[in-house]
Amino acid sequence: MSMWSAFANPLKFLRLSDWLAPLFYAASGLCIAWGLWQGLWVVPKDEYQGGDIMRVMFVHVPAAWLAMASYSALAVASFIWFIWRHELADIAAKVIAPLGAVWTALCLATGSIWGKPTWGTWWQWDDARMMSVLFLFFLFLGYMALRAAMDTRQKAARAGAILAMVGALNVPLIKFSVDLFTSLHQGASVMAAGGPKMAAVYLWPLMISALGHSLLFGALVMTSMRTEIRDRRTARLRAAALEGGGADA
Amino acid sequence: MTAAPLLSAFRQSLGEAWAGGAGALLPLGFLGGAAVLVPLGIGSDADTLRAVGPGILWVALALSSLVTLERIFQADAEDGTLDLWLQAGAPVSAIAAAKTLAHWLSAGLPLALFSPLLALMFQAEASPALLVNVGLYALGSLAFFFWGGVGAALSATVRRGGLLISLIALPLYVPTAIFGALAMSGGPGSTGAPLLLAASTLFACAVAPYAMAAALRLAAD
Amino acid sequence: MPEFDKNAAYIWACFGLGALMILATTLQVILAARAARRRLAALEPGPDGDA
Repeated sequence: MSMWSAFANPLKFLRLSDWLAPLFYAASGLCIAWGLWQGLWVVPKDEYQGGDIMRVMFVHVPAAWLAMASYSALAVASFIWFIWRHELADIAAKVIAPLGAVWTALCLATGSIWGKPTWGTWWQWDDARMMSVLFLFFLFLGYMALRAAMDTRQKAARAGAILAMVGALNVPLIKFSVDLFTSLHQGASVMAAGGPKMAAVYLWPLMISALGHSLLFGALVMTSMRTEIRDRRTARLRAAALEGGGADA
Repeated sequence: MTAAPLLSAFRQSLGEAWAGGAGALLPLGFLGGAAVLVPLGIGSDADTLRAVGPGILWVALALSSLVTLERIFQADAEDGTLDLWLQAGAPVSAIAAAKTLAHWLSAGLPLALFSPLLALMFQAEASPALLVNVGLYALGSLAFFFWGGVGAALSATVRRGGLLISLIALPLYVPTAIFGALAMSGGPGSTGAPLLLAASTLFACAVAPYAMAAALRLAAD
Repeated sequence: MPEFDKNAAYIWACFGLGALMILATTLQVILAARAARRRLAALEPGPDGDA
């Protein structure tokens, strides 16, 4: 019966996410579709921002937002797990990392493609945002590699939580140092995303796109957490069957 | 709490780091080898070498910390020494810090002390600034060793953890590399950079021992 | 399809890459969820398996 108490919260989560995740998928689909339509067809191009290329921000900015938000979520989940040993928090941390890495990679890739016509180069070492996101990407990779290297789930959870918290403590310092580095080198920063002031005609589609990406991210996290909960239960049942009991199932 | 476990951990690590008879020569050889490859790779143009020299030394210091730290906690986890440390009555964080410090003394500090020689090889002008740089390299490499120690403690039970340490520690090395290189650039912002370097090293010394302690308790389980 | 200025190729590359990465991730997550559900249902038919 003790097993059931450990499962009480995951069960509650399964019930909640059963209707919440589809809702998120649907809402994110609507938001992203509206944002795309606005970004590609409706909003006028902005000559100050380099013409049509600024439309890339409707995929780049949501990705940048999610890169930061997902690492923050990873750090918070790790902290909760470290203090309260709440299994769901570890499951959340485990599934957030690869998903966050996908959006971080998307942010880097779109930033790089945006950079080519704007700066004339695929990679700008002097751009603080690109550098910060790159190091965020490394933090995600390190987290995933560390978890994968641990031989038990409990060890993966503990090691991952320690690393995520150390990383989160370092993020402000990394950000500050990178800002300092780039501000002194003063690259040809033609582009000023969010620059002087963003007109409302861009702001709303941008916000809705970011909301859509966030909802999709949330839905994917929920689905992946359901996968992980079921996989852990499967593993426990298999272990119980191996011990010859099987009655525990 | 007594200081005895701390001292013995420190001595043991120092002994490990000097083991093999080569002592500090081994890391120095590593640094020299890495540094000598650079002119072969990028050419011997004096201006280019002068420009990249300080940066190459920072990279070499970061690499040498990663290379030497791979086994710092792994051997202890394997032979049970780690369990003894955990029961020794001294704070685990202090023991981890003592071990890291010992490794820095034998693999980080010698490199910093020899940096003027390498700077001269990289066509730097002989000047008192090179001696100031010794202090900056020493300070920065201390942060490298502490963050690298966190990676080493986290991967103490992982076979072939060396690559993992690099991946974990790399983003944590960023502020030190930036502040350190900036302090030596002589350009704008270089006057305040040594203070920032000192602050980020202090931050590493303050945070890393606790992270190492948490990771070592995990490794001992 | 909208017409863009000289940078059209870069714009389509960004949106195409975004669509590709996001759809592939979503597909992967959904397939993994199905596989997990099937594995559990094989061991434990009942409300938990397909909850």
